[in-house]
Amino acid sequence: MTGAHRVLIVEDDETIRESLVEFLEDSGYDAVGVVHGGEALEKLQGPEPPPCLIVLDLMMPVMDGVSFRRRQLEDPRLAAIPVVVVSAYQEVARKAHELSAAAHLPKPLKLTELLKVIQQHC
Amino acid sequence: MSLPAGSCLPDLQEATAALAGALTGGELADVVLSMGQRLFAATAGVVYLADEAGGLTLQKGRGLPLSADWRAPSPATMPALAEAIARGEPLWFESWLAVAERYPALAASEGLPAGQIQAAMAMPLFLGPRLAGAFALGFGRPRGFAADERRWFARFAHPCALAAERVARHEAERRAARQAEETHRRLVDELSATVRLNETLAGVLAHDLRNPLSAIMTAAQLASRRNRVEELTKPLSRILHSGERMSRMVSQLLDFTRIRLGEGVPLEPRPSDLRVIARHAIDELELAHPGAVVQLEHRGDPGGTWDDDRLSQIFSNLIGNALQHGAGGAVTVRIDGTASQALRIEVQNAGTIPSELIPKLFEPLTGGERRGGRGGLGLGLFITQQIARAHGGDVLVESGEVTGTTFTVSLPRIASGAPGGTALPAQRPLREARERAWQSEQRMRLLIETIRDYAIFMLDPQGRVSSWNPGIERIHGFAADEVVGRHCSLFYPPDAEKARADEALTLALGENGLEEEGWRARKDGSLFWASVVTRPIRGTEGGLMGYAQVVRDLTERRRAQQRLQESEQRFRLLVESVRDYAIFMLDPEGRVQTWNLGAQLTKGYLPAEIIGEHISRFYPDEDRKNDKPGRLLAQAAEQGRVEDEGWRVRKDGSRFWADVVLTALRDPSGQLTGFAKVTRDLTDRRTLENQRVELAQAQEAIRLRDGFLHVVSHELKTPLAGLQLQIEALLKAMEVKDTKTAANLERAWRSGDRLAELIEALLDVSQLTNGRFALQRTPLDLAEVVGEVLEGLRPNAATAKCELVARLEGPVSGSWDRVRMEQVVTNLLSNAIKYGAGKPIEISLVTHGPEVVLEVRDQGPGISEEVMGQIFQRFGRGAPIANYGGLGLGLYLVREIARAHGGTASLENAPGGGALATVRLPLALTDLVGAEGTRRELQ
Repeated sequence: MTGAHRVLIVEDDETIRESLVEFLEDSGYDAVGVVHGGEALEKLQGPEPPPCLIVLDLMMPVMDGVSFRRRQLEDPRLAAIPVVVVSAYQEVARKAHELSAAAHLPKPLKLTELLKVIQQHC
Repeated sequence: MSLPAGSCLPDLQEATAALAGALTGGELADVVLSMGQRLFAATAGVVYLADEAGGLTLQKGRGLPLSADWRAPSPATMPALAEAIARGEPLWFESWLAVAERYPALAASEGLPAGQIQAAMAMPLFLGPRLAGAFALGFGRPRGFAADERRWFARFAHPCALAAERVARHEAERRAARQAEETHRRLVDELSATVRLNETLAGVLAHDLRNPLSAIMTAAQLASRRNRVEELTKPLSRILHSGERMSRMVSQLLDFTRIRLGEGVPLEPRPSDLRVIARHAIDELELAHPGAVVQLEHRGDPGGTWDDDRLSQIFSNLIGNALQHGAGGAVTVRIDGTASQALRIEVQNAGTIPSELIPKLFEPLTGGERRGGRGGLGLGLFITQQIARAHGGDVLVESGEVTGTTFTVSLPRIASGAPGGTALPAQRPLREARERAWQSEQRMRLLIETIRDYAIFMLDPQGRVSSWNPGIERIHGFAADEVVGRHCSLFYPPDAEKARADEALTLALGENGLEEEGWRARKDGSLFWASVVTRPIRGTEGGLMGYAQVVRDLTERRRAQQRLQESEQRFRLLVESVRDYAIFMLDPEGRVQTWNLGAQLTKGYLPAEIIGEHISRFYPDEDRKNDKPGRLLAQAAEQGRVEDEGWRVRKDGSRFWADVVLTALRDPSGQLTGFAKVTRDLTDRRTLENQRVELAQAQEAIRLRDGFLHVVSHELKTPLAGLQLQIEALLKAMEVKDTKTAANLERAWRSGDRLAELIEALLDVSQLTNGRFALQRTPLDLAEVVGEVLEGLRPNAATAKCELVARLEGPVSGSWDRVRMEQVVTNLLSNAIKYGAGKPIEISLVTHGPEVVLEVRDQGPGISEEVMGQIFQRFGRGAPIANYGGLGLGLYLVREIARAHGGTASLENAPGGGALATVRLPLALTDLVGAEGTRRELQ
């Protein structure tokens, strides 16, 4: 599978993370789940091809979504990867705008809508 | 020692002035005792003032062995004072013998130092029928009490009683202020918990409730996508439906929290079409309520600039509400866009709302009351109203048997903000009282008028009366024919010599004649104070023809002047000694001319520093810039007086809230001579007033918070229970069929558990704040409980890569609440796993004498100084919200549970890093708790 169909899911909630990975795999994507922003950076800086999209939660331990996005934008190799912000925050739209995210989805997630967004980018 | 006759008055004035300066009971007592000592050589004395309970309380005593027995004037310790009070008149004892004869018990007792009191007097202080206080003086030598002394004391008693009453009022005010402060302090704790809750809810509740909810729904969506089996789609759609219901509740809670935080409803207005918004909302509702009939009618232009998401909420809330309470009938939605500036939305159904409920309809968290406790947070209408108001509109409701119920939303075509603001209530009663005082003062001055009565007569060059006017009879009492030809010395007092009259005539020969004032005699020998003007009258050749004399009786005026002088002196003394008011005079330009004690205390300037300065000094910069002082002076000059309440500046630059009365002073010709300015520092009063308002707001905030927690936890439980039930049933059905879907559902099940725990925690807090946290003690082995919880948490610890190292010395037998003990261990361990991930965690349970000690130690980052203080508080947290969710209730509950068991809980940084939590519990039931199984109610 090439990076064109790879989706990185950054989400600390185990159930949500595993469900999303499973759902995207069922839908034909190569989905990888990590627990927080730090792990996501590690993964992105690793040898594997970069994903076509990052699904990013905001509230996470160790490194939250906002810090991750800032670090990502600072790294020219990673800055171009589009991000979908998924959050339980009331102001998810505003946050997403501040982070120049490609799209945003509120929690609880509607899987069909997530799939639509992913299909636009991958 | 007897008071010299005639000197009573000045001393009384001085005493009165001194009394006016006393602000506390102690100061008042000092004045009385010093007077007694200085004027009457009293060697001992006591002063009592009326207390709140209606009795008397000792303020101060001198020269007496005061003990607790003296606190009130009892017949045993102060029989003379007790009797004087009972009789309502002073008592006088000219010798110790007189005391001993009247009160043999006192003479026999050892209460008084032998021989030191040789005479005494006791004076009750009455204001009408009301006892304001009492004092007694003792004298080292036997002495008589002259009539003028007794009179002096009798006259002194009145200002004393007035001062006593004033002091009592002052002290009651101070007590009230202290009490208010105390209550205020106690509320601060509750209030900060409320503030923390609000802040927490805004960010975290969303996360903590929505994440597990999201997990459940994601899993359920996944399961339903996989399964085309008919029998499974129904329960799965029910799960999703419950989830959506909970999701809506969480959104409402967040809106509510935001409004409570004062942030209002955020709007993103854009061009929208009400008809389109309504249609969408109706479609969604019809999906959720199969069979529901909603008619949409519209007139005019439905377009405008609004936040369409928010308006969609209004439609959903109102139509949903109408469907729920519509008695099964149709719901009609009307949009009226015929007016150019504003639109109306009407949502009507056939149901009726009882009129007594209508005023409460828009109050938050009243859902339970309105619907007899069935469902809903009671936030929908509240939020609807807030959204309408945020747009610059409002919501009204009308309900009747025939017409049904109609909610009418008015909206401006272009959304605007809603204004707000409150004003401080005016201090009317205070002002009125002061106004009356000023008016009486002015009346008093008007009383002092001159008397205009003249006697005019002519004297020949030798000083003999040659002609007269009728005034002479009125003034001198002589008939006209009795004086003609007699020398003018006739009018002088009998002891005056004729030479004095001649001398006056000689002096009058000067150019302007002679003007003098002096005593003159009437026919009956009585004297009057006269103004006498004598002018020489010359003939055309310049020869002296005689004198014209004009005599005015100034006795009345002189008396009045004396009275005025006395009154002015009293007034000056009073003004000077007044501390509560800054009272000073200004010249017509507004420069300070006098400066009293109150002005010094209020504004901080000494007289020398401020006299001659302009009043604009007392105003803040902004008032000076727009010439507020000048405007006030002009207004006072024009209207006579002006009142103002506002900020003023002290010498040190600090501000105070002042109540100011500025009165123009004019001379008899109407010429402005200056201004009198009275300023009162109302900062304390204002602070008190603000505190009262804050107090009420705090109480309201706390009441809302408690209601909020209660409603939230109960209301969220309902859909969650349904959701969990469905998942459980599905799991059973799936077991054999599809392991993958079963795994999805198991995840949903676990998330449901997490949600349930969170809601339980909220419920616990709500019970704690409402004092309903009860223990169910049963005999148990604590080591076993700790061991069980430990095993249960091993999987979580493993996920976090934490090794659990346990040292449990068991069995530890005692009587505890099992569920609560499990909660303690779970909370401490979960906390350690959350913060100490990747490192070992040590748990120990050991018995130390009468108590058992549970320690949980992690090797995480420890606790920083800043958060140490609030870590056990409700909604306190040890880490930023962005990284760790949670309500911040865990440690709070641990401590409350430990306390309820008579124990303690603490958290500290362990030597060598990490955090160490310690819970100590008594092994035996402590005296906090009665018999086994007793429920202990927390306060």
